[in-house]
This record gives sequence, C-alpha cells and structure tokens, in this order.
Amino acid sequence: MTDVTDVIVARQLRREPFSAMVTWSLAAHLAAVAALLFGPFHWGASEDDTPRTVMTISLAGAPGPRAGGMTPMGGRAIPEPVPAPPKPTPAPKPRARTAPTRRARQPPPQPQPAPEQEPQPGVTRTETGARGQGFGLTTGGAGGSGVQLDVSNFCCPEYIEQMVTFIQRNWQASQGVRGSTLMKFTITRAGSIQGVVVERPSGFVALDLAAERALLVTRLPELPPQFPNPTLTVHITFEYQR
Amino acid sequence: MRTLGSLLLALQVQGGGTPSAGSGDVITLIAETTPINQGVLAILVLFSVASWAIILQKTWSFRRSERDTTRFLDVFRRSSKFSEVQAVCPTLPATPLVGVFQAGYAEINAQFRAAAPGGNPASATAPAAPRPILKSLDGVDRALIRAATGEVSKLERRMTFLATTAGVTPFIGLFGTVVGIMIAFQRIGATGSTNLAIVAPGISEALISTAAGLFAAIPALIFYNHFTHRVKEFSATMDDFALEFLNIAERNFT
Repeated sequence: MTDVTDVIVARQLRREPFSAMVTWSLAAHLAAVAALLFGPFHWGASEDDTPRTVMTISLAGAPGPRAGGMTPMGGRAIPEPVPAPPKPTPAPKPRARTAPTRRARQPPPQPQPAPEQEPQPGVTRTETGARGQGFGLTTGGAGGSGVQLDVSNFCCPEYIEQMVTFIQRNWQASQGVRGSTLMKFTITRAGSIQGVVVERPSGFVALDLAAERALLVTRLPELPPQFPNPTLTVHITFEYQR
Repeated sequence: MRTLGSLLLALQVQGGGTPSAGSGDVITLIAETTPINQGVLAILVLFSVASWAIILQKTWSFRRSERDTTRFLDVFRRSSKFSEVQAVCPTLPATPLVGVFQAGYAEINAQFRAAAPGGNPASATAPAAPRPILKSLDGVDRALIRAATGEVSKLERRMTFLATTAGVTPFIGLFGTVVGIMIAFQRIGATGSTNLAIVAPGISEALISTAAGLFAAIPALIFYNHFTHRVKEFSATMDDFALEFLNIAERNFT
C-alpha cells in the first residue's frame, strides 16, 4: 500500500494536456488573423473606392459689392459701407450735454476720436458676419474669392486658393439673377477636372450652365505631392448675387 | 517567425487604429513601425497565445473535473466499502476528490498496518473478525488537509500567468505606445509640419500597441476571475468531502 505522500505526489505529477492547448490557442489566433486579413472586414475604410477627401467650397462673384461678390472672410456678401462710424459720436455727446459752451470743450474730445477710430475695421468685420472656418483656413485674403472649406484634413490650402482663382477666372459671375448652384467634380492627379455634375441646380438653367462651363474650361495645376489620394472630389457652390 | 509576423498583423488589425485598411496596407504599416513597437507586439502576441492556451486548458480540465466529481460523489455515497470506492478512483482521475479520498484511504491503511504488522494490510474494510480500530482520527484529518491543499495548488497551477498577463500587458502596450508617439513626434519635428495627415499615421501606429495590450489583458482578467471562483468552489467541495469522509471513518473505525 502506498503512503499518503506518494498519493499526493502522484496526483501532482499527473499531466494535463497543456501543449495541445497551446497548439489550439495558436491555431485560434491564426484563424483570427486570417479572418481579419481576408475576411470582409473594413476598418473605417469602407469608402476605399471613392476618394476620401471631399470638400465643400462656396464661390461667389468677384470681390466688391458692385460685382455681387463676397468678403475675403467668406460666405457673406460685402455689406454696404457702414454709413457713419457710431463710436466717435457718442463720446462728444455727453460732453456736449454737460458743457454749456461747445467751443470751449471742443479741443479735448479731438484727441479721443483718434484712438477710437482704430478699432473701426474690427467693427465692420463683425457686421459682415464672417466667421473663420474650422481650422482657420480662408483662401480669401488678397484675392477675396470667398471660399468655404468643410474639410479638415486636406494638406494644402494653397492649392485650393489656386484652384479657386483658376475657376473664378473662367466664371461669369453676374448673370442678372440671384441664385446658387452646387456643383461636384473630381480633380485628377494631373490636374484635369472630370465628372462635373450639377448636384443642386439653382433653378435657372443659365446659372447652372455658366457654372458647368467655368469648370469644363478650367485647367488646374497638378495635385500637390503631399496629397496621397489619386483624385480629389470637390463640392463647390457658385453663388450668383445678381 | 512567419506565423509570428502574421499574428502581429492580426493584432494591428484588431487594434483598429489603422486609418487605411486592406491587408496590403496593414502589412506595410507593420513593416514601417519601429523595431521597438514590433518587439512589443511580438511579446504581447506571445502573452496572448499563452494565456489563451491556459484558458482553454483550464476550461477543459475544470469541466472534466466537475463531471468526474459528480460521478465520484455518486459512487462514494452509494458504496458501502472504501475499497469499492478505491477501485473506482482510477477511472475518475480528473476530480480533486479522488486525491483527497486516496490520501485518506492511504492514511487509514497505514494506521491499520502499524497496528497489526503481521496481518494482511489490505483488509481495512474487509469484514475481518476483529473490527479494525483507528489509532488517530486527527492523523486522517491531516492527511485529508494535505491532499486538499495539494489539489487546490494543482487546480491553481498556471493561473498566476493569467494574472500576470492581465496586469502587465496593458503596461507593455502602453510602453510601446509611448515610444511610438515619441518617435512620431520626432518625425513631425523633422518634417516641420503639423498637418494632421502627417501627424496621424504615426500616432495611429503607436496606439496599436495599447490596443494589443488590452486585447491580451481583457480575456486574461475575465477568465482569471472566473477560474478563481471555480477553484474556490472546488475547494469548498473538497472540504465538505473531507468532513464527510472523516465522519464515515469515525463511525466505522473507532
């Protein structure tokens, strides 16, 4: 008969099929790999066939209120010139009320309007209602083309600026009617515009045609090398002010 | 090494941080990561494989143990002699109760042999003329406790590794991510561009490590807790059985 210790030791030595389980585990991992590699899974890349970067651009007429254009800040029509700067006038007023004689009090207010006038551009800017776009990309600036971008990961704002200038050059912005046409097109790597589609017609055939013509005539520079995709799809709104 | 490489790929895919998927892209992505990240991923894959092997093995053996325990208790309660139970024991090797029972049986036999050195030792439960008397019931109790301790430690075997995996792999993954992000930032500095298109892939690559770490840790932790609970249940069953065994021994042999 065996001793207690022998029994315990014999029980401890009894082997369990661990190596087989390692094989199973390995096989399961490999199966998972295979399923992930070759299975119908797409990790956030289901739109592989379509170009990933899509941007919406709003394009208005040539700068300046007469041409029905927009401010450099984008999106809003240039307002009529502010009639009178309101700030400088309230400053003298209380003085005029409190002071019985105007001429005696005139000299002191005069230096005040000078500092007051400095914020004036700021005042007019808020009146246009322009807001910086997302990450602060406005392609306006000197050109004043009024472009809105709804894309946050396009590498090269300069290219958009160029594109807008090129298109604007071919675009007859004043058609006598107010309206806006949403166009969609694709820029190839070589810079040609393809697949021009009217996405949302303005209601006036002339406006849609003018927008389409502007796109068909335009030849763009090559896509920037930093941009990884072969094509770039752009939505662009042509806004006719008058 | 090939299989290891593809496992790494799997973890990358499972990380879900890859902005551009499709198998080819994943392969290039893993090839582009730093050697440190690749090493981290390899370690995490090893942890994952090993912990899943343990999980499978424990699940399998616990299931068998449970089945055998039910059968063994059935046999034990129906039979009137210890020797009958002892004869059944080899057919039910998976249950820890067999170890406890065999230890108690061996102790009882040893005590009988010591009491009657001349007599035949296998007659413990035989209906021999003089009824055998146990010298010390405490000795049997101690033998049972010893066996139960051994069985518990056997049930708990390799579970430490699960606990280690659950605790350590998130940190290993975090290490890989931190190193990856450091390198990504260095690259950003070298490029001089803060563009998201340049910044994002490096960070995404780095985050794969954390995802892989969690992928290894989460099942390990879940199953560790589950197995700990099962071991406790087995331990309670063994204690219960030991008391039952002692009661029977006391009733029959004192």
